[in-house]
Amino acid sequence: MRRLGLPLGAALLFLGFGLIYGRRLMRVAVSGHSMEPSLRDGDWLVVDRRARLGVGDVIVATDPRENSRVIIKRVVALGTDQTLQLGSDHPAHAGEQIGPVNPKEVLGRAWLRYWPPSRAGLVRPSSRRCA
Amino acid sequence: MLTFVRRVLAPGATAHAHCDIPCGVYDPQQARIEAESCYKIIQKYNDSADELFRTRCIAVKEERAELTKHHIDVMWHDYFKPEHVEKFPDLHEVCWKASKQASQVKRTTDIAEAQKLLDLIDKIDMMWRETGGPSTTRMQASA
Repeated sequence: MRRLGLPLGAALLFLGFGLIYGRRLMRVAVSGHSMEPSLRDGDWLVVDRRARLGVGDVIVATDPRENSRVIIKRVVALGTDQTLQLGSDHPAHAGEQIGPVNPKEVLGRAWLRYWPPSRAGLVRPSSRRCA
Repeated sequence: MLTFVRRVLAPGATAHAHCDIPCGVYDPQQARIEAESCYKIIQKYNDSADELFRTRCIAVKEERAELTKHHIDVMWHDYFKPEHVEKFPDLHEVCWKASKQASQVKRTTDIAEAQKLLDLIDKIDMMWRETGGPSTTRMQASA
């Protein structure tokens, strides 16, 4: 039963927040390794569609290089025209930037990791800039 | 129960943490060829009494199983879309089991486990075909 405690807790928590926030929240699965160590391939996240964005936030957005794709990256800079420059956490991708990204293309800010249960917790903003 | 909870909580979208630009070419046959290699290598391992050869078999099988897992994960994360999950509600579970099975084949010399992996990849292949994969993700041969 203890083995089921965390996933069941996560399920109930998610359902509760889903009821409260309705369409404000969405769930995404992380694919790839460029956001390690913060996020790992296979992590499941709750994304807040209406959160205010700032430098250091992890966001989910339409890929400006290919519109059919959704990416997850960290905001490393804000332009004077409010466009975003995105980067990765993994040191192997230091120096690589994606952007400019129009704020309208941002789907939301990663807020909570709920899977795997052993690493469940808030996705925290960072002042660290690897890109 | 854990599988049920996972299914309920499974996200409907994938966010890519890659810095590359995807080529858009996907085919489960890449995974199947590597999984067939695992199957055949396990056969050769079991048929041989040469310890050196058997050691090489293990090394190659582990390498091929890892490649199988990679190709399954690419299909799962990059090819399949939310509308495909609507059509095949067990899509996430099949891909998850296939990825786990590739890990199982990596650590065993039981040929039945290699066959299970092939069967799961065939299910992924069926979903790929039924969602229009051959026409949308492969280049057609020039005349």
